[in-house]
Amino acid sequence: MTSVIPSGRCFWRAFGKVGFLDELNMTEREIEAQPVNFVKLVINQGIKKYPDEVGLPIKILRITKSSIEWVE
Amino acid sequence: MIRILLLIIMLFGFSSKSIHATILVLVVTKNEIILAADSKLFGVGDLTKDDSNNHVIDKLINVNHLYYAFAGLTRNDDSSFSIPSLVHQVIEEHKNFQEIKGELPKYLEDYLKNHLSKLEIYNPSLYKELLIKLPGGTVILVGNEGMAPAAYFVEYKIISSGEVSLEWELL
Repeated sequence: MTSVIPSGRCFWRAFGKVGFLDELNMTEREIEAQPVNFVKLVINQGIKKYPDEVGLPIKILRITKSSIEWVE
Repeated sequence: MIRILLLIIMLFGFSSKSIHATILVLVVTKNEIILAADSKLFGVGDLTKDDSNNHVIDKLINVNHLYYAFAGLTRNDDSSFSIPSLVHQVIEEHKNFQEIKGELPKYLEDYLKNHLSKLEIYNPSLYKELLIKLPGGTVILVGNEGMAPAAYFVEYKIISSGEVSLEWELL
């Protein structure tokens, strides 16, 4: 478990094998605007760091008021 | 005696290497919830869509109208200890998101305490190893509750006394 953005535009948290997250550099505004790109960035960084333990493909689920859909 | 030993090995066949081998990311904005996971099968695999040839597993799992994911100390090699199975059961028994949110921490706490107490008796060396590493885990639920996206996660951790600490949050 690691960083939480406590207030403002959005909430995010990463779980599991995430000891690398200090290296990420996205603002809260960017995360809110492009959440899918953000989750891809986090997981891709993790795959680079721990290739023996985490890997592709990245599965992404989007839930809105009207739908639950696979983004990838 | 041999049968008892085999049973103990089956019951408590944890693989400490498999405790942290998943990345989950949850993002909640005003309009949507995004939940993502990697797909590498590492150590064990008892879930759906397991393709052992390329070591891929689906880590976002659908039950009824909800999806769940998990990371950390969640199961042992033969799945006799399986947080995913427990979560699956709780979702099936409590159809409503609010009910699940209320019940899941209780189920998790009872399950972990029960398992740890057995482990302390039957495999004290592994029990001590867990207390040194103090592993924990996370279960995340997402869904569309009354036409509103909802996310819920519960985190648990083995603390030094051998008890279990639980924290949870609904977003």
